[in-house]
Amino acid sequence: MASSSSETAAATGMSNLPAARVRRIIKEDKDIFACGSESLFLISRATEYFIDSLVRESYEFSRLDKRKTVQYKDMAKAVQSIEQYDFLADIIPPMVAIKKIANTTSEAQ
Amino acid sequence: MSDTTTIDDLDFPKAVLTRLIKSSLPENISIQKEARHGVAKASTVFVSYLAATANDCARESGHKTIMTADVLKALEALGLADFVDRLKADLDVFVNKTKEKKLSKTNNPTTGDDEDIEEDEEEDVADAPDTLDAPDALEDAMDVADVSVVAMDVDDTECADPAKRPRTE
Repeated sequence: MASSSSETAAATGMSNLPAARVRRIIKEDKDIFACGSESLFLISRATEYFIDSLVRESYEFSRLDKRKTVQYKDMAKAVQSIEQYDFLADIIPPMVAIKKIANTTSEAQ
Repeated sequence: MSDTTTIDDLDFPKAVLTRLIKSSLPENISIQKEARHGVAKASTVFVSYLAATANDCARESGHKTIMTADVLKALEALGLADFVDRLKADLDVFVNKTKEKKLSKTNNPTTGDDEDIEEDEEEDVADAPDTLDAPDALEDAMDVADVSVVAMDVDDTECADPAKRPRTE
């Protein structure tokens, strides 16, 4: 496994994700009054761990299919099968076959 | 806030994500573009989701500012307790580094600002004020008040069920 930007970052107390961007995303939420710099850092690092987890879980499905490329459908399967990823159901939905959509549309008319 | 800014404009830089993705996969494995795109979207949504849940924890503990304890609690509420140990270790390093920076600046007042704060670069947090002043003293409530480690009387109540949060598109 390629080593880690994550380990290096942990050793130096920095995140790999740009803090300004993390802060902007948080700011979008008008319910949030303020966020300490340490909290911002933790959210940033947690996101890195999350990315790591999502990618590895997706890869498991690629492996089941004996493929060397992680495809979108692997990620969609991971999202479907892992409870902690429920919040991603609308973000990474299972791909719907074009035929199905066409049929649904013509039925509706 | 600009009316035209949406959560779609807030992807992390592609290069950063690619590097992170690669470090989670064996060397000979590649990733499809659509999957990379999925990671980008998922990451941004995750930040929102974690921050919102942490915010709920903060409110339930009676404070307005998201503290580190809130973030850690939120992760447990989200079923991601696995991250907590590593994060606590990360936080220790971060706090120590911040202290180091402060000390070196005090001892070397002529040391220039080596860190350029560019749009996407790591922000220097060492300049945050020491005292826990109320955020309303700052124009922008999101400007960070330094919340150097303080014993919080954090309530042991569970945080709001994140599943009940209205999903933001």
